[in-house]
Amino acid sequence: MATLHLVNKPAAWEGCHPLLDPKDAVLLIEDGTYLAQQALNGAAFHALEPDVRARGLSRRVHPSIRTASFDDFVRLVESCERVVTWSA
Amino acid sequence: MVISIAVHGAPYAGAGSRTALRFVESALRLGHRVHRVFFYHDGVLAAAEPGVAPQDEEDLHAGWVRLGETHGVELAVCIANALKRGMLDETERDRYERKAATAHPAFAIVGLGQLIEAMTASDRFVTFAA
Repeated sequence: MATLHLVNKPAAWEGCHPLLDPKDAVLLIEDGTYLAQQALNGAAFHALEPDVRARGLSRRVHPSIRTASFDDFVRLVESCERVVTWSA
Repeated sequence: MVISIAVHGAPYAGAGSRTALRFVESALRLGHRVHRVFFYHDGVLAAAEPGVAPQDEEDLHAGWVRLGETHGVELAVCIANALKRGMLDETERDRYERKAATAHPAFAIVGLGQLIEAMTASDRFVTFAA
């Protein structure tokens, strides 16, 4: 995989989305997990599970988005060549 | 793998500092070496020694100190961001003739070059936004 994109709030998604490569991964964290309620396209999508749970979204995560633990977060960082953090 | 990170958010504003702390704990548990945590912008407030966390909230400052003291993670605080927010170690307290040092000694007050060095010396670099 090429690039891991970190999205920590919904407004950051607008900047990230047009630049995704199909090989990329996106990890939704903090308030960015609100985006996990819908189907997203352009890359492989993950949502940080403790942040999903803290916002009461556990049953609302779209089936196309995988939930990830902090250990999974570290493994995503390992498997991608670089990490880009989006902010808004 | 060698990992370094940057923390841009203040400990109790937003979740960035807590997310970063959890990430570093997981990285260490999985056997990675965390070379440097670079505290930038409001992130420098994690070094505030006089802070007292409420009993029902996680003490993020203590969490960072623990990583520095027991896991040897270098806690680097950007000097330009630190000084203007009142984060001073003993050297800066003496230099600017202030009454107290406010940064815990587990944190090193450093220049921006240490951010660049962390990027070049690490296999991965992760920024935690405010």
